[in-house]
Amino acid sequence: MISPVKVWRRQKTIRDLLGKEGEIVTWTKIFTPPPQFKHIAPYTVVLVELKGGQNICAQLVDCMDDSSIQTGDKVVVTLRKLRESIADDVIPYTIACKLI
Amino acid sequence: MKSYIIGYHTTQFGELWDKSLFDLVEDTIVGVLKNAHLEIGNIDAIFFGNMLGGILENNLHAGAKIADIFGLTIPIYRVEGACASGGLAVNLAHEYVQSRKGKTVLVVGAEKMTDVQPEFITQGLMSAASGEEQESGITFPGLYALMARMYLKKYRYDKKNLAAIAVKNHAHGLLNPTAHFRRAITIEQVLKSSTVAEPLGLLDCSPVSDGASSIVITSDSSLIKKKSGVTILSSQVSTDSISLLQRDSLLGIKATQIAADKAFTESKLKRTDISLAEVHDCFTIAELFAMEDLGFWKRGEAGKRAIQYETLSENKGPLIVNTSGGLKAAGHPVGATGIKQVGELFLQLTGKAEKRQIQSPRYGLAQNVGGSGGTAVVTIVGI
Amino acid sequence: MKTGITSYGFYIPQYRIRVADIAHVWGKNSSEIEHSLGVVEKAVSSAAEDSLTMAYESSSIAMKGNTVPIGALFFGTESPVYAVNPSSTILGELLDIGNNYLAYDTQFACKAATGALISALSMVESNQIQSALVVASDKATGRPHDALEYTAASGSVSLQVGEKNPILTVDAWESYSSDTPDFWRREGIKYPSHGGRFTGKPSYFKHIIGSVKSILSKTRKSPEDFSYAVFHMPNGKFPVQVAVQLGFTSEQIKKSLIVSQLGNSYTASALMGLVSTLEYVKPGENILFASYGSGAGSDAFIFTATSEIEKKRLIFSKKMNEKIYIDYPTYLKCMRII
Repeated sequence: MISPVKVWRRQKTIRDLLGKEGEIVTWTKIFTPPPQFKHIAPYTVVLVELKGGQNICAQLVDCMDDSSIQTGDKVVVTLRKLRESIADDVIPYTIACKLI
Repeated sequence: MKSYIIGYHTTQFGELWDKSLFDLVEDTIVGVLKNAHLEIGNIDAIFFGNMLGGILENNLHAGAKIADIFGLTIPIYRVEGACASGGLAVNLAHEYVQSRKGKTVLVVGAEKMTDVQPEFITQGLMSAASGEEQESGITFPGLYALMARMYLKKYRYDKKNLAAIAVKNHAHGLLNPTAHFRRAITIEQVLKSSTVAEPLGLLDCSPVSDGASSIVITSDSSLIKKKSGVTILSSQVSTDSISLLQRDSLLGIKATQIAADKAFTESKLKRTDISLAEVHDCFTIAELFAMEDLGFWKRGEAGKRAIQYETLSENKGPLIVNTSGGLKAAGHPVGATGIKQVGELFLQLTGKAEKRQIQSPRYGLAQNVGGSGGTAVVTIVGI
Repeated sequence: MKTGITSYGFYIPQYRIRVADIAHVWGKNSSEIEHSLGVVEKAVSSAAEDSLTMAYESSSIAMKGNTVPIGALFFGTESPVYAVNPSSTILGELLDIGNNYLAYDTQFACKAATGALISALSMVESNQIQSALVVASDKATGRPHDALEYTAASGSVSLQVGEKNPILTVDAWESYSSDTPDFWRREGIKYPSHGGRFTGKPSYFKHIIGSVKSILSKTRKSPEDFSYAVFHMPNGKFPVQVAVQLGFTSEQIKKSLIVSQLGNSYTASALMGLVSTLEYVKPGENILFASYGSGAGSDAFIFTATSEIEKKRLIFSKKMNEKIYIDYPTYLKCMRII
């Protein structure tokens, strides 16, 4: 079970990251995911340096053509539901990045 | 006071369907006592390296379990540092005997990984990464892939430079009877293998293996007189942020660099004194990093030198790397790996490495990494 | 000062599936289906999106630069992410609007949000709160091979309601309700059911005609007083037919008829037509708007655009055309059917 308390605490951090912009530093595409991510595989994960210097690691969403990703591509942080949770869990929303 | 390694045993690494985690532990303890000509009663403490027992077996009180198997009452410590659990156990055992004259301890590492579907292993291993990394759905191959992409871009290498590591270590594994994989592979096969996390393919990755390894460490010099042994000249641990996000550089593993510098300082050896190394090639990129981080090769050179197979045994260079087959070919039962690495050095330095024996090595180095570089253990041994 | 809509945001997920591609799976004549539904393709949200993530997307646009305290957040959806646990508070937290706000989720098929809009307008107008956020978001899904599969779409619209510099003033509203079970979904059931042709005349048409006739008579206006008209779009045909029956021209509804390209995003559907119209409306022009929710009811509104629209106008057509086509298996993956 995903702890609702953990999700609740995490929500504040997520909120502070939403809408921030940054640049892709490096990226990979995952073909062998952990079980909670199987339903959305394959997916791209990017390491992003946000304006101000903070680094984040997040999925790059809404990018069908990931062959053209370049270091320095600009992204914005948004909200997605990535991790599959069992039906009686709270929903763990999380950050994701999309290209600007 | 010195610490000596006076015995080594490893089980077969691979898919050991008929063995449980503690069957493997029992087998290797029985094996190492026999190899070291000791009784269990000679052992003053046990250090047990294991990562996933808590997650996959729901078993965290491993010390009592081992006591149960052998009817013991001595101290038994479970040591966990992700994939460096084995190396950490060696380090802790070394520190323990250094502080207690005349003590003899067992260092055991084991992992049972094939009882569950691979995606649960992927998930379990991710417990060694930060929460934010876990939340993104990235995997361990993925974390190394992030670093690999930066390395390849920075030094203008391609996937062939990575693949050469897998080819070399499979060539070594062919000669190791306890290796998980005993077959040669080609660059083309590595490049054609299915993608796990771009740019890493299946054959860039170490396998999911079962296995257990153990060594006996003693500070009792009377034991070394009777038996052949090697001396631990230095064992150093360094840590770094659990997550890649806080690292200064993604072109290497800082914890390895720090541990290596300390180990060379303490042992008063030069890089060129080392003729044999077991490095942590969980992914091909990791061996390139290791060669640079340990100071054997200059920054950016590893890609080029890997493809020249300088460290392949049959090329008889000054430094041979991963004669066991490394994690890639020998297999990577996580908790056992760090102990197997030191054990391989023991076999080579004492002339017991059979078909893969290299010619009269004096000093060997083992590098064991936990997570994406949050923990690194560097151990130098000599004879 | 007059109460109205002070800002807005919308979100159209980037994926589209062609109706022809769905028809092909079931061996149907695609041109016949496209013709009978008046829908060519529909917007599909990814497997990582739900009504809440889309609501965040549209709301973050609507709330950009907002300085007015939000006293109420209403979230209307037919595809709530929880059966019990409000989406409105999750959204409020993510939008960082503080804690002094009234939050609730509303449910009334496709008109869940327009009902909430009336509540929000009334609260602002009576000076109980300064501003409210009303969100309509849906990840609508139809049972495979059901008629709804061709039209049920994803999307979200967020409207901020207030008195300060509205882009649209609300001149009147009127509701028309009755017990008409033309579309429903019971607890624990994945896909909604519907009454087939019963969703037409006694349901959609009766209620929209009821609310619009009533608002026109109350305000003593007639169809030619409006530059634009927007009707809920379960498909491409109903809004055209209801416009004819009410005396509106095809020119008046043209800018709102985005259903042929986007499908029916349920609570967001009619509002999506409204925000499409806002790309074109000029200050002083009137818009007649009528939602429809199964079960059943219709909320009609008369809006007048102000000069503020020029500052806050969003280019809907551009976003609508940023799209990636997906095939049927990918669609099933997006909808979490596989």
